[in-house]
Amino acid sequence: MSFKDYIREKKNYLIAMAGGVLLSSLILYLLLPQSGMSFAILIGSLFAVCFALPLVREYYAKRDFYQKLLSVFNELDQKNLIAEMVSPPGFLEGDILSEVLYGCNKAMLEKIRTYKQLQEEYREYIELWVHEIKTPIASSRLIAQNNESEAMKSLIEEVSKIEGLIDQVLYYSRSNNVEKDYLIREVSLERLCYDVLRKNALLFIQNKVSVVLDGLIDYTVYTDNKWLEFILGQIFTNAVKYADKPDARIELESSREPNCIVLTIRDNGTGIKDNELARIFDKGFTGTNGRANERSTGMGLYICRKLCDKLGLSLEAQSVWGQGTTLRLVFPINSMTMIR
Amino acid sequence: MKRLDVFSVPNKLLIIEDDKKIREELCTFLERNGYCCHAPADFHGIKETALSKDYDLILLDINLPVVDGYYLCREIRKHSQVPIIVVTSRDTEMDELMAMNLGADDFIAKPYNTQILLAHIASVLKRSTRENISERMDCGSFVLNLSTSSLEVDGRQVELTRNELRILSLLYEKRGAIVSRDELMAQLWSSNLFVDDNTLTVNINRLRTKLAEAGLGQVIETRRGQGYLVK
Repeated sequence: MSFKDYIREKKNYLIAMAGGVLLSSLILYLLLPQSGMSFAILIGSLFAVCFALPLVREYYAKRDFYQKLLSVFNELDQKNLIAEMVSPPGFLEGDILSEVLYGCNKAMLEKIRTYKQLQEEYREYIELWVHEIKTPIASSRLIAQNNESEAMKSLIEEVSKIEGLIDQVLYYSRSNNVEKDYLIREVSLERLCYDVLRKNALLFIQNKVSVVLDGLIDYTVYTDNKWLEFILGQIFTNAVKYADKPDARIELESSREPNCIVLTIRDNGTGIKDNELARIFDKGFTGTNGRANERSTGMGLYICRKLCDKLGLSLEAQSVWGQGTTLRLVFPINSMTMIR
Repeated sequence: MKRLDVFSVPNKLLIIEDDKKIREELCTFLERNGYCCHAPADFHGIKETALSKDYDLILLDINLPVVDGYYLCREIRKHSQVPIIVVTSRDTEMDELMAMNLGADDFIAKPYNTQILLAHIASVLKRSTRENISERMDCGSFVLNLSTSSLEVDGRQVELTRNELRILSLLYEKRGAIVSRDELMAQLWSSNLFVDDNTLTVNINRLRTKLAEAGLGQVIETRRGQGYLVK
């Protein structure tokens, strides 16, 4: 708020005052013709000064208040908390403003809390539901296994797909959670890969995709084992889903780079078009490949990226359309992850 | 279906699981794979049941009515060293850590892949009874030595690779039944041997050559479109 703005704001008042002063000076001058001139000037200036003083004072008070308000507002991370940061203004308009702001804030926070709670309840329900549904899935699997036949074999395949989709739901809800519900532990990269490969064995065998592990060196990384199993599972599933060559294969490789350990997962499948590569981690993005394959939800890699962000890992993709895709999972080595 | 000959008496398993269907199907499944199962439906006094007989292994579900699985796990461990595998649908790292801290030997998340479940049971049993297991498998005309990865015939030893050893032992475990290529591969994968179709063919051929060179003739028969068979 500059002085000019303030004067413009008080224009009507100032004009009225100036008019009053001039008019009363004129009357004085007309009533007392001898000494009237100087007397009128004296009275006029006195009036003018008396009128101007409170204006100036008000200007400074308001300027201080609003300047502070603006600067706090600009610096504030969560703008909705502004009411908590305002110092008492000490003038009527300011008081009204801060009272309204305060009320507004309170209503807003209550609303946010309601939604937070709703979301939390929803998440808890999803987790509970996911755990509940695992029991009928487990018994379906066993029933199918106990009554071996071609039909049951293909049923097991379908059940595995259901399991995969359910895991996606679970990890999606976990990836949205503000609280930390993972546990960083020492993880052997080799064991991790083996575990995930074993879990998805049927997927590889039935789709005739081979696995090349020659470049897989066993490094120790610090991360949440279960989350990483899910991430690798998604990547493997994608690689198998988009395998299109008779000698389809997935190569796993690990290497140590200056400040990180990198797990590379390379396939020789369809690959991703250049103009789509940047968007494969976006929510719901399916791309050319995904649309050709009706089962694609566009959620898998999105969830993977989110989980990686939470775990402090980075996930990068490179691809040549028609030749294959390479995903790099980067585990940083820093003082935090080196603590034993 | 015949399990490894190295265990002369079937291992006794106690299944503590509240879901009726899973309990029954799990029993059927494990009994078919050569284990002897007991799966009580009543959880009152389950701790006493668990301690009363000498079970070789306990499969314990954590979410139980009447009694808490974690509590049960700790109580059993106080009195007995019987191997416990915790089975649960809660599968975070925290749950796993908790189960291990309470003395469980292993942890499997539901819904388990049945091959993985079998592998876990076998490996826990192997760990707990290491002393009295002979690592030799009698296959009739020859003996398969699992610890030296070789087959012994007429006092001679023929070295086998890991893949070859596993393939041969699997075929003999299911002696008399046809084993499909997919099944063979699934079994190999469950022991961390991630072979593909071509490798399997190559391995089978090499195995046949080795068996023939050892004077054992054509041991492995091919059933076109179905799989392999040893008699």
